Amino acid sequence: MATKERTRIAFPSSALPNGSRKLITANRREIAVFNSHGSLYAVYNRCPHHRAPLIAGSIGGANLPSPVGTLRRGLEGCVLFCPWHHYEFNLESGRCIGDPRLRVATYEVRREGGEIAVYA
Amino acid sequence: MIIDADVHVAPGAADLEPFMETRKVAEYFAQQRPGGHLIARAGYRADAYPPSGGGAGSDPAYMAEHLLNGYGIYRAVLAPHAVLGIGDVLDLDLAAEFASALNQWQVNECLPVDDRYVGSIVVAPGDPQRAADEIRRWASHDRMVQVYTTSAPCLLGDRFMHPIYKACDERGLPFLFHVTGTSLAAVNKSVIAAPSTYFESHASMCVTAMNHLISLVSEGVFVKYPSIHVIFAEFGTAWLPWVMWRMDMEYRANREDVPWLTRTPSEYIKDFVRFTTQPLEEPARPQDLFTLLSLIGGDRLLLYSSDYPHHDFDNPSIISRRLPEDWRDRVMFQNAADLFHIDVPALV
Repeated sequence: MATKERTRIAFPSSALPNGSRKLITANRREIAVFNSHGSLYAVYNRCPHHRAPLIAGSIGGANLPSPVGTLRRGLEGCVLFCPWHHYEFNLESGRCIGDPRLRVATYEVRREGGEIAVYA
Repeated sequence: MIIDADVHVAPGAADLEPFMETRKVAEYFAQQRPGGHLIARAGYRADAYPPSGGGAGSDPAYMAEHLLNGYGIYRAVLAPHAVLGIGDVLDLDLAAEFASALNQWQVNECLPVDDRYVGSIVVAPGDPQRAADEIRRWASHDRMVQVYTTSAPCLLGDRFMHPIYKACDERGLPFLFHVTGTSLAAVNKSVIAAPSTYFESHASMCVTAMNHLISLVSEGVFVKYPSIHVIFAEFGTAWLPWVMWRMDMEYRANREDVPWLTRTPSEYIKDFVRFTTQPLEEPARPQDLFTLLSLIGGDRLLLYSSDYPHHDFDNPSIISRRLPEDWRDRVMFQNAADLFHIDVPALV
């Protein structure tokens, strides 16, 4: 079975310092690339719920399942909040934490020499 | 074609100050109840802040570009954001003066910016006679298309509120009642007690609307004021069949309490009441919502609304696609055009 060829989009690492984000386009698809505490993530720039631009979302952690009346923080720096309805997306999996049936596409992203490369 | 029935312009204090006659805007904001759960959450779309600075919704020119052009909105009904909680301001003169300032601000600073904007006559519900005077002051303005308030001090059918309805009825203006924004707990003050989180509060919003809707019908508002329409904004929709069926059942059994009603309660609701869509319920199978609402003629009852620039904005292209095809025109623009007497070009 033929494997679909992926497109490599690269830019200098200096263009995405820690805590920043960058919008790139691959095959006419907008991809939001994030540098969260040194970890790189790339997701399709449209929320699967109402198509909000995820590039405008904030990144933080989540309240994980916990006993009644207590809060347990986790996934710090790995949760993307939709800038509209505040849906939480796990940046590793693309899954919405409140409804795992909703998923935003994620893309491989890695450091290669002095560049950051996204494979879409 | 889209008419957006709930768009929140949000002037800052400096924008409104020139339109206050004797009081300061800061006095008004100080008397609104302390911010509720909504404030803790983002509250606004992160991309709705104008590049010129200021808060989301504060720049009508940017809003025209971002919302009207961005989504192809034909008309947007402005509902100034600062009204949320106006019924909680205990100084009635201050609330009334603030309402007047918002009206003058819309007419001076918003409507001239873009022909696609139409405004709302803001009233403070704590002094209905003064509210009626405010309605009559603006009613002849052809782009002020409805009366708008929030957080009423009593159930909406209470005769305390009737001077407002009388003025609406005289002038053929719909009356829009909006969920309260800045003090969400107040939304639910007619039930047992205030909820503790935004989740709980937001999920409970329909509860108050049920009380108010039952009250409006039972107290004979639509019999006394046959030219009025009432719009419930942001209270949800899927609870409506239950209320209609339950009221009709009560009417059969307890009609003697409401002998002024000559038709079933559900008929009054269908003729006199409309509901904005946002936030539209999202069952696992989206079409289930419309299957339910089709049982009560929902295609005639709903007005599309985005709630821009709030974070829980309903994207019109998503909502439009979700609607049954034969509901689409009615919900996305025709019901609103009929209600607000907005001319729409013939569709080819």
